[in-house]
Amino acid sequence: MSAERKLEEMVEELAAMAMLADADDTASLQNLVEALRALGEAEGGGDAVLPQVEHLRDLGVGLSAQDKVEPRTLDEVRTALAALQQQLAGGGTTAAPEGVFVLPHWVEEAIFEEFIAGHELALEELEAEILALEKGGSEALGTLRRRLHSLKGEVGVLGLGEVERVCHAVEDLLDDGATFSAERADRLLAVKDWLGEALRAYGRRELPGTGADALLAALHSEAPAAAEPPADAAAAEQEAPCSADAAAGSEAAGGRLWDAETIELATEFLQESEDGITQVDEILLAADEDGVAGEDVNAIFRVFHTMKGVAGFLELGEITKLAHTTETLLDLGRKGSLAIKGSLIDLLFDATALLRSMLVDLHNAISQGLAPAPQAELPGLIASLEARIAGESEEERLPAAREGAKVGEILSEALDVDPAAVAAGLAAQKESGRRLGEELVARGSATPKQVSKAVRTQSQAGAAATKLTEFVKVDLERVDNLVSLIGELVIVESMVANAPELSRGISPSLRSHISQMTKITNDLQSIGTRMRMVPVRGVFQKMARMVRDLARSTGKHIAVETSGEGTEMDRGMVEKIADPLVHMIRNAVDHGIEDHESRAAAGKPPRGTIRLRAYHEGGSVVIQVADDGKGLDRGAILAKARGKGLVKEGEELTDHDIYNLIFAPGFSTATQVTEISGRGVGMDVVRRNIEAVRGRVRIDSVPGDGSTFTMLLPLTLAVIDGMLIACGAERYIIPTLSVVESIRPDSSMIFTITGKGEIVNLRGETIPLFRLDRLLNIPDAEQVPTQALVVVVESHGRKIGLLVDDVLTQQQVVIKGLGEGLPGTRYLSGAAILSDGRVGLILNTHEIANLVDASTFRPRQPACDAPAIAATPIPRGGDTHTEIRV
Amino acid sequence: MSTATQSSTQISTAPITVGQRLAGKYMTFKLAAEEYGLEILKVRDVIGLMEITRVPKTMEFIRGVINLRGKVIPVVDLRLKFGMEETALGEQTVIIVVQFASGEREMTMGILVDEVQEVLDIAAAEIEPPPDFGAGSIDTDFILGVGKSDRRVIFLLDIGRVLSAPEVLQVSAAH
Repeated sequence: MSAERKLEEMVEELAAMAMLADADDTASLQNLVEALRALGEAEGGGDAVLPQVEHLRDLGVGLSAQDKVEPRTLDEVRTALAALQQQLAGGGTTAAPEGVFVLPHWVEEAIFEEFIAGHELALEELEAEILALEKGGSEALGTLRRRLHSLKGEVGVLGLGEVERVCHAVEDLLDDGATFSAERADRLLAVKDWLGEALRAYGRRELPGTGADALLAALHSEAPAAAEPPADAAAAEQEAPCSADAAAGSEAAGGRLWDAETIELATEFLQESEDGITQVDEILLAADEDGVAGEDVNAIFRVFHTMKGVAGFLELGEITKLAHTTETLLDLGRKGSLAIKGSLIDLLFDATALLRSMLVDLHNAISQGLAPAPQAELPGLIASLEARIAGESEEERLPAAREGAKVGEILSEALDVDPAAVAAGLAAQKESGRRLGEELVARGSATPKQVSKAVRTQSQAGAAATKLTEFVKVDLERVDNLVSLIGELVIVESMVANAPELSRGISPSLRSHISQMTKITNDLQSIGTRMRMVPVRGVFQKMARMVRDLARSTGKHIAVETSGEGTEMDRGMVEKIADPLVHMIRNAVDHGIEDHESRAAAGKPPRGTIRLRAYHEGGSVVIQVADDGKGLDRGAILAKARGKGLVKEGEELTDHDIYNLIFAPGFSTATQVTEISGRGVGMDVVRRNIEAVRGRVRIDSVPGDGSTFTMLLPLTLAVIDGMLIACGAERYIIPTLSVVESIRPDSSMIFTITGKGEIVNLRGETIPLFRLDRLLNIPDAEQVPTQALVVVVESHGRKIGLLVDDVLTQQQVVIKGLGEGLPGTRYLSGAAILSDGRVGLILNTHEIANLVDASTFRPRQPACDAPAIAATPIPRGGDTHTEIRV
Repeated sequence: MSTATQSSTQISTAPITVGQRLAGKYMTFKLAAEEYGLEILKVRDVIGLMEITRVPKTMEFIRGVINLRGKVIPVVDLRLKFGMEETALGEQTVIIVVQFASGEREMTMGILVDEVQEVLDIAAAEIEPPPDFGAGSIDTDFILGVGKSDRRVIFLLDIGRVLSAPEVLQVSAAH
C-alpha cells in the first residue's frame, strides 16, 4: 500500500475518532491524542499537506496539555481533519473552484438534502425565540442557546464551516450574560437572516458570501446595555432593576460583602438558574406515567449540575446543598438505577419550587445588601431527597379517575383547583391555543405539580389521554397528486351516482353499494382537503417579525398580539394572503399607529398594538388585522375621492362606503410617500388578490380609536359553493357567496327607465337588472321577467339583479381553470365540472357589477383593453346610445 | 452546418433539407376535402364527439370547452380558424387533443376535425417546403411543409402556431 494511501486511511480513522470524541470522555480523548501524534510521525504526505499535518499534531499536543478540554479545541481538530481529507482526496493544492461548495465525502447526499429542506423551519423557530427574548422572556435564552448549539452541531457534521463558525460565535455572545437589548435582537436577527442566505447557498452547492466576518465583527462591537424602550418596563422578567439597585454594593449585617464583581456573577447566576428551573419544570410537566427518561434526565441533571457549581463558587450554602442533593438523585436517574417518575416527580417539583423562592430571596438580599435568609423547608426536603437516594420508595397514590377523564375535571375534582379557574382556563385556551395545563399554570390558577399529577392520573386511568401529534414528512408533490386524484374521483363518483340509468329500478344491494361509495368518496374528499391545510401560525410569525422591524425603522413602539394561530387554511391560500397581509400591516404601521407624542397627546398608551386574529366561521376563515391607531379620516378620503372623480357631487355615501373607497386603484390620502407605503398601490392590490381567491375584505374604523381589516376567505381554493342556474339551454354557476336572494318578480316590480336600462324594485330598493341572455348571447331564453327569476347578487356593496330562466340547484363544485389560451373571458371566473360530467361556467359577478354606474344605473363604458367585440344594441324605443360595449 | 451524405455517392453540401427535418410520423385528418397532418408526438388523444359547453364572448372558432377526464380544455373548430364554414357535427366528427409548448407553458387543447384518417410515416424525400403564394395573399406560416403519399397531398401543420393566442387576436378583430 502506498504511503499516500496509508496516510489517507489514517486521516479517515482520525476523522471518525474526532467525531466520536467527547470533551468529557477522557478515554476517547486519549485515543485521539495518540492518533494525532502518530499522524505527525507518518510519512507520505508530501509538501502540500505538511503544514496541515503539523498543525494537527500541535493540536493533539495542546489537547493532552489541557486539564479540561474545551469543546472548541475538538472542533478545531475536526475542521482541520476535514480540510486535510479534502486535500488528500483532491490530490492537489487547489480546492474546488472559487465559490463552489463541495459536499464532504463522508456526508450522505440524502442527509444533506434533508437538512437543507428542513432548515427554514429551524430558522423560523430561532427567530421566534429571538423575538420572545426581546419581549422579556428570559427562559427563551436557554432555548435559544440550545437551538444554536444543536444547529451548530448539525452543520458541523455536514461540513458547513462558515455557518458553524457563526453559530459558535453567537453562542459565545449569548453566554456573556449581558441584558438582551433591542440592539442585540437586531444583530441576532441579522445573523438569522444571514444563516438563511448561507444555508440556501449551500443548498445550491455554493459557498456563502463573505458576510460572516462583518456580521461577527458587528456582534462583538455591540454597545453594552443600550437604552431600553421605555414602555417595555412592564415585562416581568427583566433583571435590570436588580443590577441597578445592587450597584451600590454595601456591607451587610451578616458580614457578607456584595462587591461589584460578585453582584455581576450573581445576577448572571440568577438569570441562568431561572432559565434552568423553568426548563426543568417544562420537562417534568410533559412527563406522563412513564416518567422522565433519556435525554430529558440528562437535561435536568445538567441544570442542577451547573447551578451547584456556580452557587458553590458564590458561596451560597443552601442553594448549593439543595442543588447538590438533587443532582445526586438525578445522577442515579441518569445511570438507570432510579426511575424518575411518579411521586419522585412531585418531589422534584418541590425542589424547583423551593429553589425558585430561594432565588427570589437571593435577589432581594442582593438589592438590600444582606445575606440570603435560611429556608425553613430546606431540611425536610433534603431529607426526603436523601431518602429516595438511599433507595426508599414511596408508592405513588394518584387520585382515582374514570377512564377518559379530562385534565380539567381531574384538577377541579380531585386536586383542589378552583372549578371557576378551570372554566376560565378552558375559555382562554381557545384563544391562545395552549394546552389546558399550560394555560392554567400561565394564569397562576394551578401549580405545575398539580397539573403534572393530573396528567399522570389521566394517563393511568387509561384511554382518551391527549395524544402527541406525530408528523411524517411527505413529498409535497405526492400530496398534491393525491389530492388532485381525489378530486377526479369525486367527479367520476358523482357521475356514476347520478347516472340516469340508475334512477330506473336498480337492485337494493346495488343502491346500497353506490351509497357506500358516495360516503367513502366524501370522506376522502374531506381528508384530501385537510391534508393541504396548514395553521396560519407561520404567516403570523412572519408578520410579527415584520412589524418589529418596521416599528424600529419608523421609531414607533408597536406590539403585536396574535390569537388563533392554530386556525388552519389551505396552504395555497396561505401563500396568497401573505402579500395582502403585508400591505395591510404596513399601512397600519405607517399610517395607522401614531408616533409617541401624538399618542401621548391623545391619552393613549405609548405603545401601539396591532392585533392579528384568525378563526373559523361558517364555512370560511376570518382573518383580522386591527390596530389601535388613529383610524381612517373620513373627510380626507371623501375629499380625495371627489378630487379623483370617484364620487360625484351630492352623492350620498355611508361611512362604510367611504372607508371602502381606499380600495380604489391609485388611492392614497397619505401626504407623504414613505418607503413603505403611500404610493396608493397597496390597497387596490390587496383587494384584488383577496378576490382572486374568492374572498372578501372589509374595513371598519373608528376615528381616534383605530381600524380593523377583516378578510373573509373560503376554506379551500379548489371547491366552491355555487348556485346552478339555467338560461336558455345553457347552465351557469353563480358563487353562493355573492348571492343575496332570488325571487320571481311580479309585474309591479320591473321598471324600464327609458334610455337607462331596467331596474327591479325590491322592497323599496332599486336594483339594476341585467338579462343574462343578452349579456352572454344565449339563445332561446325566457324573455318575460315575470316568468323568469331574478337572482340578486352583491359585489363590493353594490347589488345587481340577473334575469335567468331558473335556479336548478345549489351544490359544491370543484373549480377548474378555464383552459389556457382562452382569451377574452371577462365575465367568467372559471369552469367547474357538474355532477353529470358536463362543464358549467362560473360567472364573475364583480365584472358584471362593474357594468353599472352606481348613481345613474347607466351601463358604463368600461375602460378596458380586452378585444372589443360589440354586442348587438339592446332595442329600446328610439334610443341609440344604450349599447353595452364589452 | 452542412450535413454528410446519404448512401449515394453524391456529396451533398446543402443544409439539412426541409424533408429531412420533418420526416416522421404524422396523424392525418380531413377538413372538407383537404388533408392535414399533425406531428404524432403532439397528439395526446383522439376522442369521439362529446358535449361541448359554449363559452360566451370568445372568438368564433372557439367552440367551447369540454371535460377531459376532469380537466377543462378548450376546443377549437379548425375549419372556422382557417376561414372555412363551420364544422357540421356528424358521426365522423372527432376531437383531436393536442399538446404543445407555447412560450414556457404547456398547452392542451382540442381541435374539431371532420374525419381522422391514419398515422402515416412520411419519408424525407416525400416532403417539400410549403408553397409560396406570394407575399400577403394567403398566410401559410402555420404550414411546416407539404407531404405526399400515394398521390395524396398532405399539409403538415405547425399546430402550435395555429393555436397560439397573438394571431388569434388579429383574426378576431375583423368581425
